[in-house]
Amino acid sequence: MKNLQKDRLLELLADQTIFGLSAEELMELEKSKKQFPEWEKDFSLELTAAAIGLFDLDVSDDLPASLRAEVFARADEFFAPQEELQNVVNFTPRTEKTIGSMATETVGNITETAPTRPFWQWLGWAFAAAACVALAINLWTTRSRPQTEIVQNTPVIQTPTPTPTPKMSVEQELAQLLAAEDDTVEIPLADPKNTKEVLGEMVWSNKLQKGYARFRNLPANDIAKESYQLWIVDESQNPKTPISGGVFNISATGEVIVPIDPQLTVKKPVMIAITKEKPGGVVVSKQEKVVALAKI
Amino acid sequence: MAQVTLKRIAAGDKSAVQDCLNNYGGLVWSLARRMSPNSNEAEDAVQEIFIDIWKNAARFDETQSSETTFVAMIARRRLIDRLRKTNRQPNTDSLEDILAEPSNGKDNDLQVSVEAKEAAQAMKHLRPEQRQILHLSIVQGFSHQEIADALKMPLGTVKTHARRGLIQVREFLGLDSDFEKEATV
Repeated sequence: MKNLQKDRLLELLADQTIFGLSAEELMELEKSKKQFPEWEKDFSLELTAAAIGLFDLDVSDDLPASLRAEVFARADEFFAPQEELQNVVNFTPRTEKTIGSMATETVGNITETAPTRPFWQWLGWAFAAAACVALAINLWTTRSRPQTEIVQNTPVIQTPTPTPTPKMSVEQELAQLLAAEDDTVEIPLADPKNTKEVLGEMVWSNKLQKGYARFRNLPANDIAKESYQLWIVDESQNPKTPISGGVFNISATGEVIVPIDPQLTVKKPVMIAITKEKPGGVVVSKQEKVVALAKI
Repeated sequence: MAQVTLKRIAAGDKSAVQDCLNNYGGLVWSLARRMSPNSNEAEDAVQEIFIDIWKNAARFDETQSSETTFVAMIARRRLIDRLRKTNRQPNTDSLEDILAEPSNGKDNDLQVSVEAKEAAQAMKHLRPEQRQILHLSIVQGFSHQEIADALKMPLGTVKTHARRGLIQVREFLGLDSDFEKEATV
């Protein structure tokens, strides 16, 4: 029995490597991996496919100079936080051992969930606190003055009414989220019946417990009859009772961005599903009408 | 090729970026052009691939593969992800043209990594239909449906040939895991 399950897992992994999987197959793969956790970090089929993919590859052309320069610029951004960290932490002369342990910590921070960085985090909070104090002083000095004074001090401004702080658009918030957090993931949302039919993307930061779903091809719904509802399948939750991420309606064609607003803390999201439910949404979905899926 | 570039990258050594580009720039560029619909997409992909390489450098295990194959794996992941996201096909010749012309593969000694040489060698031991389907899917980037249509084969048969061929090549490369070998004893 166990061998049959393992053979099926191997089949799924091979299919995933060569052709990709449908949403149902992806769910099956996730289940199988739980039974054989040792396969979670096995790249052997991917490495095999990569080796086959090198067949006949002509590598004589080097990167174009402009592209090389762009990659270098990206390297500056990528390595800058690590260099700052090393500069801050290294007060004592480095030994091979300390360099090695620091390196492990730094890499771990990039590829895995963030480990503790006490001093650096403290420094970050200190800067944040200083910024908050500066902002508070600024708000107090500008907003507590009589309006006439503001007008007198700023004769160039034609209108005497203070300009409200512009609220960021949802597009700007999404862009900020993509740029801000190193744990932000961006995953395609596909039609479960036809995984080639990409309906949009899902962007999620577990650190911020915040995300957005961006749809391009999701049909408009009749709000009198149904609503769309977003669900987050969390590793810590029963898959039959995923966390609701919010109810929304699509009234127009074109790109629509929906903020994800989870009702509970998401510990380790494994999948996002969009379902059609009765107007206003439901507490527990029967998952009868799944219109889009994204596997994290 | 020295197998130390990724370790240096993983250790946060920015000076290793130069070596990384020298060693693998051509490889990544070639894969990106092969698996992207146009050169603009290929250029964007290259930038994303190098960031992926830096992020994943610590996962490189020299007992499993060469750096070249590891880099190719990271590149392939990103390129496939980009293609699936946009639902586009790589810029390849038509399947009919490819099927009409026999592969003019290089001599094995000219392949770019040890595993690539061994994989090319292993492919020779596969059944012809397995070899053909793996070549069309992995090297040329065609979908199982396109291959099934072109070869007039049921979809399930295409998948079976592909997965059996891949698993055989993996065994030939000695990449099947120890726990797997134990389980089958």
